[in-house]
Amino acid sequence: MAERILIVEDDVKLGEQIRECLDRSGYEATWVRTGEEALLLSPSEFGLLILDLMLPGAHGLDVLKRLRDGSDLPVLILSARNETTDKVRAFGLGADDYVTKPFWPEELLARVRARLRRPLLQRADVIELGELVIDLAARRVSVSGTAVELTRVEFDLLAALARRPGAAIARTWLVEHVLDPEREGGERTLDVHVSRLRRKLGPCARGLTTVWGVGYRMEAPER
Amino acid sequence: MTLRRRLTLVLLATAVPLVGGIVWLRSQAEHRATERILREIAQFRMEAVGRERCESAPADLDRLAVPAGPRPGALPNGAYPRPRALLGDFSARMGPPRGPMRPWRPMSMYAYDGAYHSRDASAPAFPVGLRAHLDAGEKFASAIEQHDGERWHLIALRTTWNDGPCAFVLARGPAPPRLPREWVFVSSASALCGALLAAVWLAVGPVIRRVRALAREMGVSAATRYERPVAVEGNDEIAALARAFNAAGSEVREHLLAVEKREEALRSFLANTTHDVMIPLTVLQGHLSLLRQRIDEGAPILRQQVHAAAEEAAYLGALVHNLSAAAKLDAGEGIVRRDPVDLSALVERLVERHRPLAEPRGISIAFAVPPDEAVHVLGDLTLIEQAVGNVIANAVRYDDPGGHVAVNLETLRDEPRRFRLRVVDDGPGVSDAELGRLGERHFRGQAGRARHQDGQGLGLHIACTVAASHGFELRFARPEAGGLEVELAGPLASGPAADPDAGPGR
Repeated sequence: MAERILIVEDDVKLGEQIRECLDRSGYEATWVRTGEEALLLSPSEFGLLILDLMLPGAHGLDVLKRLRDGSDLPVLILSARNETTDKVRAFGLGADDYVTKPFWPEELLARVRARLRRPLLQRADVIELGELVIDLAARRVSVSGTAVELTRVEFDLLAALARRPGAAIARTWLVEHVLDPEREGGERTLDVHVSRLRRKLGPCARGLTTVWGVGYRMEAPER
Repeated sequence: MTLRRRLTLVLLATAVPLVGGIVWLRSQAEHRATERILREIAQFRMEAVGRERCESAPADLDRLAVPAGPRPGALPNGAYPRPRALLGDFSARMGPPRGPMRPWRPMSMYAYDGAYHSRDASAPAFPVGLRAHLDAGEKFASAIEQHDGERWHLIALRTTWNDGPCAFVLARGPAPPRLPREWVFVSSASALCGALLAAVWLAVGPVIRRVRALAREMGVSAATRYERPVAVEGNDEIAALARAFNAAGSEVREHLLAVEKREEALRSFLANTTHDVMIPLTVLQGHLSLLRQRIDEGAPILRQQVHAAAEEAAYLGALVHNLSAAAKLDAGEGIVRRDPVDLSALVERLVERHRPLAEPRGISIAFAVPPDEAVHVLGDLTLIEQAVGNVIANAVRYDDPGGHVAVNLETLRDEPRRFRLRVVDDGPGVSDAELGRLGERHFRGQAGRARHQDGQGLGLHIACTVAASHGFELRFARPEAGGLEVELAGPLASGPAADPDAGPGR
């Protein structure tokens, strides 16, 4: 079922545009123009609130304050003034993120997705990324059901990346946290380990990508 | 009301009642003294005359009571045809007659029986008011009587024997005038008032002159917007007033200058915004117009043109935010906010903001932040975001199609309380000579100039200013592989503010 998103934006063109953009992206968006209208709706029916700060009547921050009295609905603030005071107050009142106007629809979508897919970090003992299954507790890895033998460093490397699918991890961080500081050297050594790991992962190696200037990333499977 | 007029009125209002009161008190004292003396003389004489002598000739008491002697003056004519001289002892006790114009006036005595009838034909009727007092048991009573323009004391006495034709005695003697006879006293009191008034006027004169001069100077000072202070002379209250005015003036001037500076910044912001926004807006309109023409002609729309239009729109937004930040920084307001800012969230937000511009041009943009730790710094969220955003925008804007932009946020193992944020691109980069000038306002490198004629060179300048005002270091470097590397480094926020769930700026 599509995630429902409530939009509070007084500007007709912008409100309509945001609603359309979210609808096109597979969300079910409800758009209201005032804070009063928004407060009449039940927050529990929505997965996210997109709230403009400068509203006629009740200020966006007041709406946020009243909403927070009985709801932990994630809130994404739209800020046109780009004033630190507004943002800090919004965070203080329990806002989760903000987007400064002007913004690209893609930017807004990225913020919406980021809010709705949290927590990003996989905490489960078993991570499944398509055909790749990683049992963190037992330190076992299988590809398409076939067990794959990994060295300690290779397993730690894969686990670090797989616990945060879609997020790039810096090479420097991997060198510091995955390689054995006493035995192994720098980023060249890391690259060698990655290359071996890729070979062992076979068809799943495509998910382990090199990110230019950053490090490595395990791609999140398509939903 | 002027100070002089007020002082005169105050002086008169206090001096006149004071002099009047003194005159009245003095007149009362004199009245009582005269009355007492007359009463004592009358008592004394009656004792000297005695009951027998009085009763033997009650019609002649005046003559009996007043021993014979020279008559110092003529007697006034009137209802009292037999006045007798008031003799030496009384004169001595009353003091010498004052003033040449005052005629000598005698004292007379009359005897009355118990029914207040006198056998002396010349005796006046016993005053009713005095009878009431005596009837009430008092030994004596007194009253004032006006006669022929003169004031007389009437003293009624009850004799010690209290019956017969001499049961009561009425003595009539001169009373002091209602107003003091001493014109010297009145005139000296008036002269004193006059002298006081003159002294006050003299004393107040210089004060008034200085106050007026100060008022003039204050007017001049205000006209020069408090640039010129007023002169402070002496060490009195007027000098204190002048000093207080100068202090207030300099305070007002400081406020005025601050307001002017802010207004100037605002004016400059508006002027810059108007000028700088119009150019990219015109370019954007040009792109849109071309697109419309192509649609009208049925020609295919070029991807490149849409990207160019999008870039202009993005540039416009960044420009307005940059001008606003520049106005804030130029106004010298400093970094007013010191909130914990989550750099990891900030980096993610900025990369997502620039992705819609980078990816259509085939530029990949990626970032990495420390996975398991919060990276918080203290500062102004908007300004830091603007600064880092400018660096990323710069990298995206000047990179070639198919290029890469990477944003790395790290905490350093060697320096655990510091962060390092690196933005690297593989674009054309800048020359060594340009590297040192990247942070200057209005400076843009050759590559940039060729590509974005309408830019202001504001972005990196703001990044440098924001970094400096936060105590961060901003360095530009040329990586071996080419392109540009911009590194921002600084201290992490310490203490509970670094708690990832506690502070704002997520």
